[in-house]
Amino acid sequence: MYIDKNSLIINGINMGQYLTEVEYNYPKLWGGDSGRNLKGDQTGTFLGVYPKLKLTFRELTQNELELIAPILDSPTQNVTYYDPNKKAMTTMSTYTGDWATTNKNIFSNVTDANESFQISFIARSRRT
Amino acid sequence: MKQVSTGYKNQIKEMGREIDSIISYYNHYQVITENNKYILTEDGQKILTEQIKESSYIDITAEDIYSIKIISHGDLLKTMMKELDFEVKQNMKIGSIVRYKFGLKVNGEYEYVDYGNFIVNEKEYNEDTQTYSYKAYDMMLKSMIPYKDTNDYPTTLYDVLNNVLEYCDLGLGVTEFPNSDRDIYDDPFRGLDITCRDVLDFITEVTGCSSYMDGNDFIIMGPNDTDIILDENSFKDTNVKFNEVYGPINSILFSRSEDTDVVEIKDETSIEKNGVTQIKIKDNPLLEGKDRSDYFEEMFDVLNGLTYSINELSSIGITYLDYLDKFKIVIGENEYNCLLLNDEINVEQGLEETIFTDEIEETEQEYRTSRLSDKDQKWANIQVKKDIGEIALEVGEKVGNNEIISAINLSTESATIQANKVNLNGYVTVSDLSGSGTTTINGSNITTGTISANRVSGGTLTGTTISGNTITGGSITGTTISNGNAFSVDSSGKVTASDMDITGGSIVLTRNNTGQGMPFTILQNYQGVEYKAQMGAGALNFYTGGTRRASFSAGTTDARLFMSGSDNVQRISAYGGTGNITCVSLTQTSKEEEKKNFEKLDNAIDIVKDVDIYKYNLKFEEDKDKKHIGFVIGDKYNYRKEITSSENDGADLYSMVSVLWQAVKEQQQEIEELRKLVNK
Repeated sequence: MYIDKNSLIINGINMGQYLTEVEYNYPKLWGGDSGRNLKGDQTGTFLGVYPKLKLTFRELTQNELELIAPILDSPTQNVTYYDPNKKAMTTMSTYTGDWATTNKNIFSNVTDANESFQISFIARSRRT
Repeated sequence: MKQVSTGYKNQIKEMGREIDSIISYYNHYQVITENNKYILTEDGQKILTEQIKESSYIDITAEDIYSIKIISHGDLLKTMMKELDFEVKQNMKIGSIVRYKFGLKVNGEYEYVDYGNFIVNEKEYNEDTQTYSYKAYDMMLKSMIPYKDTNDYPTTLYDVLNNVLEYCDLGLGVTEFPNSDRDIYDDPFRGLDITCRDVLDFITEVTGCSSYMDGNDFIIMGPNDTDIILDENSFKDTNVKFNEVYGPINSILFSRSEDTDVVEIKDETSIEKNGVTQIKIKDNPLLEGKDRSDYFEEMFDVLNGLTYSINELSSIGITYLDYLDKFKIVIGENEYNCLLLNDEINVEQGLEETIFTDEIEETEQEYRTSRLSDKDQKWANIQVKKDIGEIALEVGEKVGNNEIISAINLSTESATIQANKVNLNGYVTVSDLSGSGTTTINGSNITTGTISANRVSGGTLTGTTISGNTITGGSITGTTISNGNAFSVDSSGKVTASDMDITGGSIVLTRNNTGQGMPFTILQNYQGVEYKAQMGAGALNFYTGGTRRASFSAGTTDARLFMSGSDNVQRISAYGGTGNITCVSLTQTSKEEEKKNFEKLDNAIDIVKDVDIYKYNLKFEEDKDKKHIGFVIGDKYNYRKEITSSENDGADLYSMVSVLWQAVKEQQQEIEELRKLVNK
């Protein structure tokens, strides 16, 4: 799968420059009716694929972190990515979980000492 | 069964099915519930409900729908109102019209099942999720208004239904239904505090069917045969329960008046084979009339033999079953015949459907008053119509084509008792009958001990004693008949009257037996003397003081007139001596045994010579009339008493002839003596 460095844009910001890794997940969501039927076969309503992008940020500078943090703190984001199923750049609305970063050199006045961290962007709606 | 493709039926069971929901609504209006015909738009416009344009509906797609539940709880012989519970972001007003379509992706395209229109009736705001939960009902909700009679009677059950639906701004989606042509003579629901929905239930009940709404149209339908066969793939692996089989239905019972008045129709063959499964219909106003058993046949056509399994089934979702569908479930070797009466479809992150069917109430009666049908049984009916002030009590019995009815009807204007026999036991007082109208007793016979009245009129009055100032009747018969004063007829038939005047064009007195004697007697006492006339077979006798003085008798060959006086002289006179008696022969008694004191008559010629003969007229005659010839009895005239009557009031013709006979004889003797002298 080919994804170039400009293929991930969140809230209009090209994220490729701040990342060390992106994991593309395509989880299937099943309805609450999922289960076995009387015959013993698994059944259920397929609610859809809800893509999840797990981003690993590199060590960010203070300026970089100040740019990224508002995106991560907002409840939803617009994420544009390359979807291999659609074979095209696709935009989806996402939400995120909590995020955290570690600064081990807080007492050394080294500003670029933030360590790498991970956060997932999960599609709010099924992929159409 | 809802119309879906074969692909739909297959896909709904598949793992990974994809579903969709669309709710459309017409917001911001309220129904004017007086007759449901109009809605009020948000800007105050009044428009007909059917004028709502398609484009006016707003769609809510699945993304904004949090949950949907379609609830159809029905029963045989009842109306069914479908409920739609849903939670969405949108704010709608109570009364909004909502449509729901359920979609299933089949071959890449969604195929939708339309569940129809609903009216939002309740809503609730969920602060936590910032959504609204709504309860909406199908168009049956429009019938939840007070009932009003809009019929012209007599009418039919069809028209009663059609009119109540029209009043609710609903349509009738069928052209006929069982018992739709039954005659309705008066408003069966008068005085009942009920809604139009109640009326729809009452009507549905007497059809043997069930009813529901298809859009705005009211549908009456019996269980619907389909070719639907469901298997294990359609049901969850839990909560799939089948109880015993209900049916076959083989009896319908109508009950009223606290179950004391019941009639029933039965399929005896089925009962013998399967036992009784009975549907009981209780206190339906449409079945208050004496013709209620007429409803049986068409109801029984719908229900007789109906069999279905009692069940509770959790399915993975079927969605295309419709109310009243008969379908089959095959699980392994077992087959179950089912009827869809209750259905709940949940659409919330998936699809679940629960189907359950209960048995309807059944009651086996102790048949105290009923037999197999009203066709040959006794029945009783009580109707109380408080609002118009009427009470009707009826009992009847059908025997073949004949019907015997006894009834008491009370209204503010009259009380009517109708029966072949009316028995009043005890002291009965009838008063206030002297109004401007006439009190009439009609009957071929009235039998009583005593009737007292100013006036009794009737064709035949029969009684021991009938008394009154005026008694008028074609025939009056009684041991004693009396007016208590001037007229009476005693038990032996004697009639007593102070004055009797019998007037008639023809008056006949008839003796009914053939015995002899003088059955007819007229008596009068005058100055102490009893005068009596008696008449019998061919004879009329007159008595004075007990002595027969005259009689006239007519035999088979002759007639006799007998008269006698106190001097034992028999007399006959015509018109007081002034008339004529004409006969062929007049014979005077002359036999020896009837005579005595014989004395020869001499000198008869002297008698002849002493009597002068005159020509004269009687005084009542005209002078020109022919004169009679005879002697005259009078002091101035010469006559001899030898030739007058005993009373000296007329001529004794027999004596005159005898005197002349003797005179001629004397003359002849004298002639012969003279002839001898001449010849000497």
